[in-house]
Amino acid sequence: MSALIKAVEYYHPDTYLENEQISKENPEWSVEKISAKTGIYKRPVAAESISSGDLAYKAAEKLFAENEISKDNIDFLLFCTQSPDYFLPTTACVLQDKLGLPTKLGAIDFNLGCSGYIYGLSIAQGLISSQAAKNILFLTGETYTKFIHPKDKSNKTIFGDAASATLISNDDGMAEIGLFELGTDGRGAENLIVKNGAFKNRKLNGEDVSNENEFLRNDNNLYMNGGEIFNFTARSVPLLVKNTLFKNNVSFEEIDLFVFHQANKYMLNFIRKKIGIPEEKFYYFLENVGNTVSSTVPIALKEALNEGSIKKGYKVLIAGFGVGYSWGATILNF
Amino acid sequence: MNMDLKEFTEKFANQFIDDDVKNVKETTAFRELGTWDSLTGMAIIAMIEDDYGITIPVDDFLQLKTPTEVYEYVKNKKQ
Repeated sequence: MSALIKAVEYYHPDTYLENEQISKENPEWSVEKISAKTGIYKRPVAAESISSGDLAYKAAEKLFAENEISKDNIDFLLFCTQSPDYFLPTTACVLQDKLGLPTKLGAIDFNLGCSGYIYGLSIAQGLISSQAAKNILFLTGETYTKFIHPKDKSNKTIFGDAASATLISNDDGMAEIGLFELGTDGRGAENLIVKNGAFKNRKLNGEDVSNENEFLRNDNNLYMNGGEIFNFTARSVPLLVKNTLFKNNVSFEEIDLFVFHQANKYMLNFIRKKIGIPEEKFYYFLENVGNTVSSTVPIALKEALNEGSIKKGYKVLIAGFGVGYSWGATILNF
Repeated sequence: MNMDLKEFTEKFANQFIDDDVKNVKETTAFRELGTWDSLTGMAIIAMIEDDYGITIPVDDFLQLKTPTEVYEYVKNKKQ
């Protein structure tokens, strides 16, 4: 039984952290340097009172408003986040009520970052195959900026807050979801982590670690070892693409567009060249949103659809990779 | 494979962005360039691994100051 993407929408706050502000606080980084390196000019930042669940709610309401989709037909709600509203209950349960969705639906959260959109699609496909559900509302939402230390200029330049909403259906839609290639390597857990505040280390007793006035890390906040993440990506993504093509019995040349997790422009460009993907087949969308973790792929898909970079008949390879380490990819047949 | 310093420096320079692609010469102290950062370093290490089959440990890489020094290191390792 096939699973198809019927509609995609996204939402982000309209308050931004702009390069000018980062440069003002860190004069050694010019506005030009920040944008040249990351490909990002501004990133949406959620207000203190706005949660991932709130952002996902807005994305979902947009999906219903703009696509004539009946809430009554939704029989499963999936929510991907690493910044849930509460320890419990599951944010997806709260969203069921807030969105006015039927009580007969199944609802779960799952905790993944940059690979989350791919995993969500694979779970949705599984739910359809097992006939557990026919119309799945899949939401992603993240407020990583709340994890970031005020002095952490590196992470501040990268991450933005956003949410996405995708409807996956068993009967019709704009893109059939292909076969999945997934992977995990927990040895990389320490390289992208928020250590304190959950149940392994409950106390927020981290201290600032600096090197000659340069902020390095605080275990209460998001820590990213950029070099190691780059290393992991450079090694794993080319193989991920190759295996995904093989599994789907599709040649490299047959792919019309590659939509990868929008980590940062420099890294994306490096992987693109390494795999040998021509620039016109590679989609970038991070100038005004930044790296929105699990929402980058659906945001890029939506923008590519809007501007006509994805047309009927296209094969689009989507891939996510990062925190975990966790990675995954599939092919969407439009 | 024969190694060539000119070609090596070109590949090295291509890991930089903007004007620094042109600013990287054989004896440039590349870490002093404006667009240098740790990601550029990882890209250079990855390029050398792909194109020359040599893995440079990060600690060794940090001791090398110019493309020529990196080139000599890689050349010695290949022998």
